[in-house]
Amino acid sequence: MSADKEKLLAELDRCVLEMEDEAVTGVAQEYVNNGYNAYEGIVNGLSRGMEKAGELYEQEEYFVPELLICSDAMYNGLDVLRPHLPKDASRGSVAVVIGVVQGDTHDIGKNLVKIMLEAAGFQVYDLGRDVEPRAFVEKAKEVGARIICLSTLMTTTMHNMKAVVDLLREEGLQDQIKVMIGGGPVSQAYAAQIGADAYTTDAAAAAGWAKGMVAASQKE
Amino acid sequence: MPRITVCLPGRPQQSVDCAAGENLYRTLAARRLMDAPCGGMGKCGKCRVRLPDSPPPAQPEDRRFFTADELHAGWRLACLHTVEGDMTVELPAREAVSDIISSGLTRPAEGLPVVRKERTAQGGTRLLRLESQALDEPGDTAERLFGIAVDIGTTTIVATLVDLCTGQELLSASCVNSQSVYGQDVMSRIQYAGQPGGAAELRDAVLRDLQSLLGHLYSHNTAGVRPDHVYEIAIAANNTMIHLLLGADPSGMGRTPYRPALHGAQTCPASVLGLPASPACMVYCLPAVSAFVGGDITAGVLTCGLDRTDRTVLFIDIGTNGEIVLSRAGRMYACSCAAGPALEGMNISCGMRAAAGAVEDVHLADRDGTLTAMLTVIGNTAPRGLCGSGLLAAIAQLRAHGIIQPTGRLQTHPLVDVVDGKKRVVLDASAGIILTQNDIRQVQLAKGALLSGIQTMMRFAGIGPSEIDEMLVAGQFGAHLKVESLVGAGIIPAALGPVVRYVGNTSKSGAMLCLLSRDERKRVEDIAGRIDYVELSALDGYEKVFVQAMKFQEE
Repeated sequence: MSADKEKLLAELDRCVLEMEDEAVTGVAQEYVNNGYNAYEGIVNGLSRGMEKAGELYEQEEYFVPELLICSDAMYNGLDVLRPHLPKDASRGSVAVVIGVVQGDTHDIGKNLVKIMLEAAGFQVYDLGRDVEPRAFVEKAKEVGARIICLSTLMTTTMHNMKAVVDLLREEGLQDQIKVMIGGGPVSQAYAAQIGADAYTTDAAAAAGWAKGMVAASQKE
Repeated sequence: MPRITVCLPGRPQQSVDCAAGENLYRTLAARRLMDAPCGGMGKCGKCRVRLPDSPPPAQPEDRRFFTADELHAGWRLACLHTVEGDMTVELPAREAVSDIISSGLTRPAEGLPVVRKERTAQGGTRLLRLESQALDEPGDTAERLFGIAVDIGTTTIVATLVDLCTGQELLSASCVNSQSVYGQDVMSRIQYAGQPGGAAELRDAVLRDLQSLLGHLYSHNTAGVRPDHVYEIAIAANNTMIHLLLGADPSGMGRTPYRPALHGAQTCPASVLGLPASPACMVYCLPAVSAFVGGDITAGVLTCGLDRTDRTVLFIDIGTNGEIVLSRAGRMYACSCAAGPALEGMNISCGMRAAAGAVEDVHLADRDGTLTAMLTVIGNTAPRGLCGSGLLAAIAQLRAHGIIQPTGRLQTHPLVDVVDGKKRVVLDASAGIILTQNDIRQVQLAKGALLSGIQTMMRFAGIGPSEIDEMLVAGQFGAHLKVESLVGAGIIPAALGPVVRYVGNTSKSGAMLCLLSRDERKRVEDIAGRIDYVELSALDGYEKVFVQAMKFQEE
């Protein structure tokens, strides 16, 4: 790899990690102008910076505002790099469906998880907030998703997580499609109670679990 | 049937029988032996018990809250375990609830009374309600005319006996809301009400509380007031409390678009609620604006006159839900912010209620060249934890000394140590009082919610903080928060610091106005209809405002 390319990759990484959400555009532009591979720019540049930001979040050094500005930088960089990806670039990436369960409109936590999943290379289908249980299952079937991520901030809407798990059971899909849950009132005990496959406490941990799950299933 | 032997420090042992397979927390909570902020979800870690004889295997949540040594000694969270057979349970010392604030800013009621009495030609006395005959009594009882004003909070309930002839308060009584065992915030109550029999249990709990408070007022007043001479009861409460009290379905408030079942002021005979009073006694519940801006807030607006002011006044009640009303010369906007329970000590590693042993104030002072944390502890005992006011004071002080950066991140500093790669401030090493980086993050979420609510209200009114003439802090919790802490922890803009005024329990004051005057009732109903409610979570761009408000710097 040329020294220039390596320098630009490191700079993309740094721009995301250090919240340079404006400077990143110029760096990404220079990277494509030089004819370097856009896919590598994402994986070894932007996403790497975002994953480091996620690590700092897990270590409690970064918090929601920082993580969101880092993601602004990542997405600004992606806007420049994406048009240079080959047409079939998203093939092979694992699909995930995410949303806030029916009855709830609080979506900041869900948005953070989405960012970290995208940084980890997942193809994320975001259904938004106040999403009907059946819509999760239908979307997951349609796009061949391996994971459904459910979020809620309210005690009163947690039961809609169980509704999604139950629907998957009814359709016999519980082995193909795993369910991960998170949010203020949710706990490991609740995940166990409703038969969800995982409970994670924050966005970085959520992406970590998703990667681990995919890696484990590929070994089988 | 299994028998549980309950050991409480300094109290005689108790035996409790229950069905096998029952949840241990629910069993203890139903007997009022414990309550937990999360209502038994394994989230808050406040239902600690020790099971000295063959404790059940620890659950993952147990491991979050106890060290290996504690687990080995039999410490568990009660809500994660069921009763399988006879067992012994040791409970930690209980935190008593601090003094309940039963009084607040008030003013004389204006206009005509709701009920009055007049003598009849036959020598009896007639009770008139809104000028219609309501009851005839033999003899002269013209001066025996009483009512009761009630504030039902999610946590505490206050009732005051009032002489309706003079408007004088005779006696107040207060208690903890017995619904607390089913969860400490309104969402947990709404959720519990949706369980089979849950709504009835919650209703019975609050009715029992009211009956016992009224009983106390009757047995302890020195004016010889009997139930027969109480003709009006006025209740101010948040909308969930009103729904549960009146047996209305609160479930619509537990999901978007957060619709209450009841609209406007509610009235019903006291006999329907089984409240001891005259057979002619009516109960009046103040109207709400929306699911989360309830009659407790319209009561505050009425008391403080936000509807008739010619100034710009911000009214805030800080709690798990922070309610905000901004009046610009009587044009009123309101919102409710999901601040969460961090300010009340939940999700905070050393968090506790404002009870004996709670650190209520923190000051960082230079002692022989070393910055040292000086703690003020309730009851002058050894510190056991941080209550909300102590938590905010600590954050304000650490922020002022630059130990907390504007982003909320802890700096490297002699007061800061690192355990398992995570930073924390040691406030009292010997007592183990610490403030972790994660605690600061939890406070940032709460402060972000409150500050962004204030900012959104200002945006709707088209003003900046310097244009606010007065900021009124109402409610039980806010009364304990110093201005320096509110500003220093970034909950309110600095420009508001000098105009803060604490108004106490204006919910009860508003109930009292509506007890005394039909014109005050008309006015509060007008207020409820006139306030523009803003649903923050439905606003475009609210997320950005909220996230920005999590930072400690001034806007």
